[in-house]
Amino acid sequence: MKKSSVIALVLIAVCLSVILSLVGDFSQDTTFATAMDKPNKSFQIVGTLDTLQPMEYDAIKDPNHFAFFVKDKEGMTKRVVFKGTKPMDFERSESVTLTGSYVGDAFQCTKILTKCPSKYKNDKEFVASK
Amino acid sequence: MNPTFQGEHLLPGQIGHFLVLLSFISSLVATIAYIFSAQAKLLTNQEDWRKLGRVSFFVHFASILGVFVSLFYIIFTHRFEYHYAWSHSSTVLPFKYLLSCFWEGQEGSFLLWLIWHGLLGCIVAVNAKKWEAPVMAAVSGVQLILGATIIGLYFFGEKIGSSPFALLRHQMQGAPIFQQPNYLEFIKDGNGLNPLLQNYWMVIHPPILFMGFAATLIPFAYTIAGLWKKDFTDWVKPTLSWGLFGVAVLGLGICMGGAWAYESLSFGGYWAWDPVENASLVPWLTLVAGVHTLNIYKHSKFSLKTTLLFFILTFFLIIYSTYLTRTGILGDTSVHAFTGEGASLSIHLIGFLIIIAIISFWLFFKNSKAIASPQKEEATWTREFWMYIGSLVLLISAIQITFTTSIPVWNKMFGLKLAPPADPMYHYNRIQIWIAVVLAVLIGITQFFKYKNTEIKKVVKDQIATLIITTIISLIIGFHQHINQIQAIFIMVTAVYAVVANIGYLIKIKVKEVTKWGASIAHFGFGLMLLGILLSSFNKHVISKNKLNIDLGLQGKTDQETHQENQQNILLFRNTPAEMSDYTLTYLGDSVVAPNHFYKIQYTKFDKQTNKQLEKFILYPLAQINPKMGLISSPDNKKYWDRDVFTYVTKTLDKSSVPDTMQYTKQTVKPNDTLYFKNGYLIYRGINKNVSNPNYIPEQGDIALSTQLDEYNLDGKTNTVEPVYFIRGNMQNRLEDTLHDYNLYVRIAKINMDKENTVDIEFKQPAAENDYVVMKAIVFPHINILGIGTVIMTLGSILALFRRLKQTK
Repeated sequence: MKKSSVIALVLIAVCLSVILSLVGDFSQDTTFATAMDKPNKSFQIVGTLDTLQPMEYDAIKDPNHFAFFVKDKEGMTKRVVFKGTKPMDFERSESVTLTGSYVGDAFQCTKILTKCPSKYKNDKEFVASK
Repeated sequence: MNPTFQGEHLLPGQIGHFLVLLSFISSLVATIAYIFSAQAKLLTNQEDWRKLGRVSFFVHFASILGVFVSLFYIIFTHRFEYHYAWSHSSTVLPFKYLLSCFWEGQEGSFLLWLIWHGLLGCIVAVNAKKWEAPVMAAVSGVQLILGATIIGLYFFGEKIGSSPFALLRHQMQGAPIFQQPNYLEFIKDGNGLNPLLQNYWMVIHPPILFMGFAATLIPFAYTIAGLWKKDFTDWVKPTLSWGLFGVAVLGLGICMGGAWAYESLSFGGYWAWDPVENASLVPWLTLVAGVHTLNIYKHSKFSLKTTLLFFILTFFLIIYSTYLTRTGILGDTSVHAFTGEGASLSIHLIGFLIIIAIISFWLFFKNSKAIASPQKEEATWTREFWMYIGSLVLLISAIQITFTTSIPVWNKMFGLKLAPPADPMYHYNRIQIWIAVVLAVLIGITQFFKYKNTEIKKVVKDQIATLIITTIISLIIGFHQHINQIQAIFIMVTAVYAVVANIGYLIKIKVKEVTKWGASIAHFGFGLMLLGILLSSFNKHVISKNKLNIDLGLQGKTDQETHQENQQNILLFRNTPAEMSDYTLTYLGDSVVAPNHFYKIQYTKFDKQTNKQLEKFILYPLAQINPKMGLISSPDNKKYWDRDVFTYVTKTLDKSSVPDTMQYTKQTVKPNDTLYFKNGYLIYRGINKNVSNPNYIPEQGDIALSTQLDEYNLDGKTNTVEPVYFIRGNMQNRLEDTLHDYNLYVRIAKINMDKENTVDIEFKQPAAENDYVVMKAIVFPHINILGIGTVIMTLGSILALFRRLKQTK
């Protein structure tokens, strides 16, 4: 066997194993129901802000506690807790993408991505993380 | 049907549009002429076509420059009848940011790219000699396709490209405002520039990055030319020079992007594995790989085909990255505020990619048989073998990054619903750390091997000293920085090895010839960069919650830990000191320099035993409360030689929303009387007839007086307040003055007109609880090593380039 063929085979094997080892990292957009089934596992949930329920954020009490309610694609509404500051213009968001896991009686999220209707021609997105 | 509109200046747009068409047609003529020249059998025909091609290309470049000047004129003179000026600029924009308007929009950035292609093309045309025709045919062809993105014309009912000179009233047809012939009188200002781009890095980073993009075209064009003419004899030197040029410029552009992210974005770092960052990194990796395999070919005749494939891949990836970042396909996955320009650009760029692929692979498979490969196998202990392995490692890195970044593309192609990794730092680092480890080792050792054959014993002997020094330095750093994690230890040791081995190589092997230092210096810089990345990220810690040694991103962690980590914001009331790590923090107040809102945060450090003040500094993190984009927070940095203390605002108080129920206190004073407030006192100095308060704008017939009050605190006199009292049209008016640092409001209630010059002063100081800021502070240790490494790597690449240029002559 020629050395170049060996190298090529090793290269392909390494690439495949790298990619396969990473597949587990790709989360699927999911719903609260799935996240509740597997508590403590990280999921990404896309939903809309439930504006009928109150949002909790009081920087003076705790600047790292922001709680709100989100309705997921299947229409289930759950309380979400974000350990951080409230993103600007959160009320105006059209949809929110939450990353985190279900712990206890609330979805604990580590990252919020909000999509706001913008006065610019195109949508702008912001990330609030940590 | 078409009413005449008042106040429109259509001429610059018409000139600009004409030049766009001229540039398009001249690039078409240049492409055809150069192709004929390259294909012509007779020398005279070759020369005639070549001359026509060159003239057309010069016309093309000149008209692209003309387009740029026309568009700049429109932006500079604020002609908001043009859509581009209206959507990307405004009258308040400072001059230095007018250029940034070019790269906010799609048309402007393509224009910039075309300019760089044109400039590099002209240099190639003049210098390439026998390579001019085939290389420039490829360059002109690319200009033709790329230039079509800004023509904005309809062909067979399909709109090709979008013109930067489109009028606002055409872009927004049907809006009622355009029924009025004098509509321009109502359009007072443009939409303005994205505040994130209003930063000095954003003035220089995009042009450099685009120049790097443009530089990848030339090795690609030489690859096409070489395959076309089946000739690789004196092809290596120009290709290598342009490849090195691309490595230096594109690398610099990417690093500047990191510097911008670090200094003006608040995601707390210089690199986030964001798709837009990845999209420019991947072509750089393949270009670096191509330059290395070309070096192998130069010395040993191996790996020419690999080199050609790398250069084709690099240019393909540049266009692919444009497709990813400009067409909006990334959608939810990127923080970069690039815009989706719609389906037509998508089709345009996909078409471009298909054309590149078809032409390149057709030429490659048709003509690569003509490439003679050496019959014998490469020996294992040679420089070329290990350089080749290094290039393949770079390729693996590129494949992994591309695979994950392209998730939205896979979703679209195969109808999947994959979401990108929830924790990109962990996801990419997991693989890329090991790639960096392997690269660092190869960078250190490979140059000690010789081309073709190496005496392995000698190499081993050379390595003993290097390894001893590496071990000592690694132990020192490891203990000092508490590096106690397996991946981190690997990175540290190998990075130190790369640094030491490259210095050692310079000392041992070639002290005399400075021009030959390029590769070693670049590799030395790369080693330093790795070390800087490790030290700044491994011990990066958030001090606003007083937690030390939190590892971010280098290892997996449970969600519980992540939640704890997220409690990283600290609340500061105005003038109420709070402890944070070793520092005492005080929020002193805010000030507004439109459009920026600065928050004044004082850091002091005291000796724990003696309580003596060791240091004191003030940071001014800024926030823009942008009506369109919400809170835009930009950090401020305290730079030490060994760390940065990085501070940014995460939540601000909207003062207008806090009800102010505080009553004014009234006091009658004569000159040199004192008024006390919470943090100090004011001394009334008397009445001024010449009012100097900048907020007072005099009008004719005003009778205006002001009172000067000097403010004192523990440090002595610090400020002056000057409330104004004026009579305008029989009405009494008061202009309040404010000491923002103390939230102190002062106004004149009454001027008593008595012998003692007494006045009634009213003042109030609402409670500090009504004024606060929430902020976060992060320490980046040894970030300077990363910066220095970047500069050294760029300098090394440039040095290597100069060496090749000298050889070319």
